[in-house]
Amino acid sequence: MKIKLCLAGEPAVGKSSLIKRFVLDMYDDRYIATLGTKVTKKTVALVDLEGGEVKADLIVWDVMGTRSIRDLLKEAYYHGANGVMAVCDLTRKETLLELDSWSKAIESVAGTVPTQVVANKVDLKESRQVSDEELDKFCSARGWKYVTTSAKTGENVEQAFRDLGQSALPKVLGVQRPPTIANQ
Amino acid sequence: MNESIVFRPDTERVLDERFRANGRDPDVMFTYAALRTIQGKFDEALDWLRQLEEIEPRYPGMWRLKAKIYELKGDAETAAFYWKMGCDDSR
Repeated sequence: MKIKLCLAGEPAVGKSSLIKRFVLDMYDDRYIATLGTKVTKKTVALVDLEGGEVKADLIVWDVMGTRSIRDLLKEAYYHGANGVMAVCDLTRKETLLELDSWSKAIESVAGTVPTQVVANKVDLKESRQVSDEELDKFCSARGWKYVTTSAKTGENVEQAFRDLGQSALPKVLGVQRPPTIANQ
Repeated sequence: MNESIVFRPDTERVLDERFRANGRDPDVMFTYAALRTIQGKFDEALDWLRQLEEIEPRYPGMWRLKAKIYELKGDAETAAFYWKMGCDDSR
C-alpha cells in the first residue's frame, strides 16, 4: 500500500532536514536550498481499521519552498496527496502564518486531506517566536493536528510522519484495500 | 512578470553554480524549466524539459510541468496529452 505525503511550507523551515532525519536518521547543519522535486520512500508499520498491523510505503514528496514554484507546480506536486505535512519554523512566526496559503493551494488540488502541522526547530529555545499556546490556538482553529519537532535532535520526527500516515490510512484503505487471502 | 518578486533573488545564481558543477543535474534542469515558465519563456522551458527527459524520463512532476506550459501557451490538446502522461508520477 502506498500513501503519498507532501511536505509544505516556506523556504528554510527544515522540510528536507525532516525527511533526511526520518528516512536516513541523519542531520546536516548546512542549509542547501532544495532544487527540483525529491521523492523518498520509507516503509512503516501502521494500524489498520481492525487493529492489525499493515505495512505501508510512505511516499514523501519534498518540494521547493518558493511560493511562485508552488503556484506553478501545485497540480504536479499535490495531485493524489493523501496527507500534508505543513512545516513551520518556531523561530520565525511568519512561517506559521503562511501555512494558511499553503493549505489553500493544496486543498485546491487535493481536496481536504489530513494535515499535520510540524513546528520545527524546537531545539532553538532562545530564538523561539511561537509559544505552545499560540501554536495550539492557530492549529485548533483550523482543525489541524500539530507537533513540535527538531530535525537536528530527532525529537518527534519519526512520530510526526507515522501519525500523518496513520491519519491518512482510513481513506487510503477505502480505495485501495489490500487483497484478502481468498482472492490472492 | 517581475521575476525578482516571484522568485528568490539568489535562485538563478544557485542554479548557475549547480549547473556549472554538473551540467546533467536533473534538479537543475527541472528548476530552470520552472523558472523560465514563470518568466514566460515557454520555449526555453520546454528545451530544458527535453534535456531532462533524455536523462530522467520519470522525473517527478516533469510531465505535469510540460502540461502546464502547453496550457499556458494555449494548446489545450497537447496539455491534456502530457497531463495524462503525468498520471503515473502523481503517487
